[in-house]
Order: sequence, then structure tokens, then C-alpha cells
Amino acid sequence: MKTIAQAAADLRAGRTTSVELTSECLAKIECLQPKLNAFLTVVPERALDQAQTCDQELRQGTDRGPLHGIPIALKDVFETKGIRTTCGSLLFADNIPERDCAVAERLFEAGAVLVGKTGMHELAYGVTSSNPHYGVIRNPWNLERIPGGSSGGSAVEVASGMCFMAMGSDTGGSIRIPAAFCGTVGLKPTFGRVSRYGVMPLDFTLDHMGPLTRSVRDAATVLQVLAGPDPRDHTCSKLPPASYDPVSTNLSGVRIGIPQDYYFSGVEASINECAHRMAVHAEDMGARLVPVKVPDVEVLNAVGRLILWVEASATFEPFLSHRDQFGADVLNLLDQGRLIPATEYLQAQRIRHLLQQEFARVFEEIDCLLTPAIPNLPPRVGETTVMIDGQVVDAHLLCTRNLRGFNVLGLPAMVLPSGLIDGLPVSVQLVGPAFDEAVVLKVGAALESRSTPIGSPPIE
Amino acid sequence: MTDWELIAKARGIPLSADRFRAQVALLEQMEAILAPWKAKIGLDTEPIPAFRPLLTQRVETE
Repeated sequence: MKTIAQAAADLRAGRTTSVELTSECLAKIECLQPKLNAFLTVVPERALDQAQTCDQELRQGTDRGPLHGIPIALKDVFETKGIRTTCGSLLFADNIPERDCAVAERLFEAGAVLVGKTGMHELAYGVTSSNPHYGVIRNPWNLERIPGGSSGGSAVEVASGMCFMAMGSDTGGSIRIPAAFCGTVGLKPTFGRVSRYGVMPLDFTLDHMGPLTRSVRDAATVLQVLAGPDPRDHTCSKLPPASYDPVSTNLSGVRIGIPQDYYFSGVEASINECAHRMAVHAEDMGARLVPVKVPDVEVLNAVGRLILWVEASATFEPFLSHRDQFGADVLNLLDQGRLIPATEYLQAQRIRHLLQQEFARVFEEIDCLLTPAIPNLPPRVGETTVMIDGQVVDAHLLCTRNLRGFNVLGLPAMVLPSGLIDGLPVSVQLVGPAFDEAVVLKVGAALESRSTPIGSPPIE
Repeated sequence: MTDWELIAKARGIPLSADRFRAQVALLEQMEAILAPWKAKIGLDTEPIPAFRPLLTQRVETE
């Protein structure tokens, strides 16, 4: 399956057109949507119109850059002018926004062609993407398995060739979980790196926006388009974007931290082996592996859950009189958040401050942290527990345990495939210091160049 | 009636036994995990401002 970089090269060499690329994606959607249920809305006419315009512009010498003419999709939290944006919820089933969100504005300005809005976990509040209102989204590697969530549709579409890139949002792992379960790259940039203007929120201080792609370089390309200040979002950083293109795969001088506690424990042995193999690849390419002790991640995760419960409940409190409009799992979480006293919430935010300081000290010794992404293979649809080392573990908590902390800390984190186990993808996670997405992308591109590609899911 | 039940009642959260018991158990578990860290909080430790993590501010002013 082609990457954005390959398709962009073909477009400029005259080997294909945006209309051809878009038509191929739309054909894939028509064929696979009944099996995978990845899209909430498909916009074929608009996509073909946009693609024709892109082709015409290229013929006339107007080149908007590497996303020009490339078919993409947006998770259904990103507001799109005139196109239904549901947030995977009945509450917004007929919501037709009058504006484009900042992410859509930037992607359209860069020439990206929107093929549709992706399916997701209800209100982006969960990890399965089994949506009680819009149906179960399925993993293209095995239809009995979940794709992960909440950006499940985004990952399924990129993995199965229905588009070249899809945007996701990540509050406790919602880009990285589906990316890992479906074998794509998933990048959660630093908090404040990508504007949240016009994105339907789940949480005020944990939501991050980022791309799911078929290569690390493609993720860098998309981030280059999205990163930068936006005065309409007062959490968006004024720091100018860096250059994200990982031009060299030489890792000489790069210090990669290998956690000696927490992240490699309670993980399936075969998944740990894949992560260790990636670390060895990095060392072969010049990196120095540094054993590190990380601060208390169990507390970090508890802080993240508590803050999420309260802030998400505050977000949706105005709608809670319509209890029949929510799925049972989401309603349970929203009720949970409303039980928490304000003092507990504030103490969690204060502990968050302490943990940020402790992690900042870890990053004085290293440039990047490497961990297994998720300790387990994708659960089966409807499965709420999984077995790890003979122990029954809550599947939801297991999926988020290595990821959620970096939402609390606001640090850039990316997952990329590290292998296939029993025909299912597994991934490794790279984490960098604040606003240093460049080092994460550089290390990721190097590892990607050295490891065996996992190929495409066995679905036609 | 416990404090939790009073809060739930005031907020219209259903008090159906299993669901509510699980919610309270989770809150008690969180309290136990966070208790040692609460003891580390200094008087001058401010919460991360709700809409602007210090992390972002710090990088911008460097």
C-alpha cells in the first residue's frame, strides 16, 4: 500500500492523478465499509470535485505541497463546514457545523482531499470503538477483534487503504491505541502544538490532535502542515513549528531511555521482545541505550483518570438530562466524574505538577523514551477482560496503562509497528520532551527503515 | 446515608446497587493511590492551570 510520500511522487511524475487516487479510495470504501464500519459519513462527490480541482491546479503549476491531491479522512470530532459532525453521539446526530475546524482549514489549504468522517467510540470516551448508536467498528487484521479507540475508524481506514491519512484525537491513548491495534503510525503531538479550535472536546487539559498514517515520514509531513500558533485556541502554543522531516536515519548521539520499571512489566512476553528488538535496532544505528527509572506511573495514570472523569463530566453536564441519549459505558463514566469533590480534582492537578517536574528531570538524561505501546493484543469485540501472565486484567485499563501518562504530562508520543504476533500488529511507543516531536520522528523513521514491514491486513 | 450517596442523590445519579458500589470502590481506590502523593504537595504547589499546562508556558518563555 502506498504512503503519502509515494503517492505525492507519482502525482508529480504524472503516473497518477488525484482523481485516480481518490477513486481508488472510494472504491475501497464501498467494498470494505460493510465489513469494517469505519466511516460515519462518506462524501464521494465532494471528494471527486476537490480532486479535480487539485489536478487542475497541478497542471497549471500550482503545487500546495506534499498533501496536494491526497485523500484523507477526519475523525468525527473535527468540525467540517456543511458536513455532519456527530462526535459518535446521538446528541449530535444532526449537527451540521457552519465552520471548519483549524485542522481541516490547514489540511484543505494544503490540498488534502476529504473522503469522509470516521467512526469512533461514542464522544471519544472509550477504547473499543464499539459504538451503541452507529455500530461496531472492526479490526481489518481480524474481524472478531476491536480496532481500539476512540479513533478506531481512522486507524482502520489508513490500515486498509481507504485513505492515506486520517486525523484522530487522543485524551488517554485514543490515537495510539487504534494505531497500535491496526498497525499504523499514530502521533500525539505536544499539548498546544496543534490547534483544537473547532474540535468537539472531551476534556480541557488532556485532548490532543494528531495524524494516523502508513509511515513515520507521512506523520511528519502532516504535522508540518498542522503545527503552529492559532489565536482562536488559547491553549495553542506560540512557539513556531520546527522542521519535522526526518532527513537522516543516523542516530549517533541520540540517548534512548529504556525504562527499568513499570512499562515492560505486566506486558505479554512476545510484545516485550518486539520492543527490545526495536531498541537493539536503534543501538545498531548509533543510539545509546540508557536504562532509566521512571517516576510513579501508577499515580500518573490515577491522576489522569481522575482529571478526565471530572473534566469530561463538566463538558457534557448540560446534556446529562438526556440520559437515554448515552451508551451505558459512557454514562457510567460521566456519572463517575460527577461524584468527585472539587478538592480531589485540584489535588490531582497539583500532583500532576509534581509529576511533570519529575519527568522533566528524566528527560535531562535522555532524548527519547522507548516503551512497548500496549501490553496485549487487540481484545475480541465485547471482551472486557484479558489474560496477562495468568492474571485476569481489565482490558480498558491495560490498553491505556502505557499511554495515558503522556496525556497528563502533555509530552509528544508516537506509536509505530514493531511486529506481528498471531497475525495481529504490535507496536512500540516513543516519547520525547515537550515540543520535540522532531526527535521522536527521527528515531521512529530510523526504526521503521530498519525493521521488517508488517504488510497489509488480509482483507479484500 | 454515606457522603457519596448524598452527592449522588443531589446530582440525580442513580443509586442502583452494583453500579454505584463499583463507582465508590473506584473512588476509594483512587484515594488510596493518591494519598502518599498528597502528603508531598507543598503549600506553594499550584494546580496545573486548567486551560494552560505550565509545560507549554515554560517552553514559550525560554
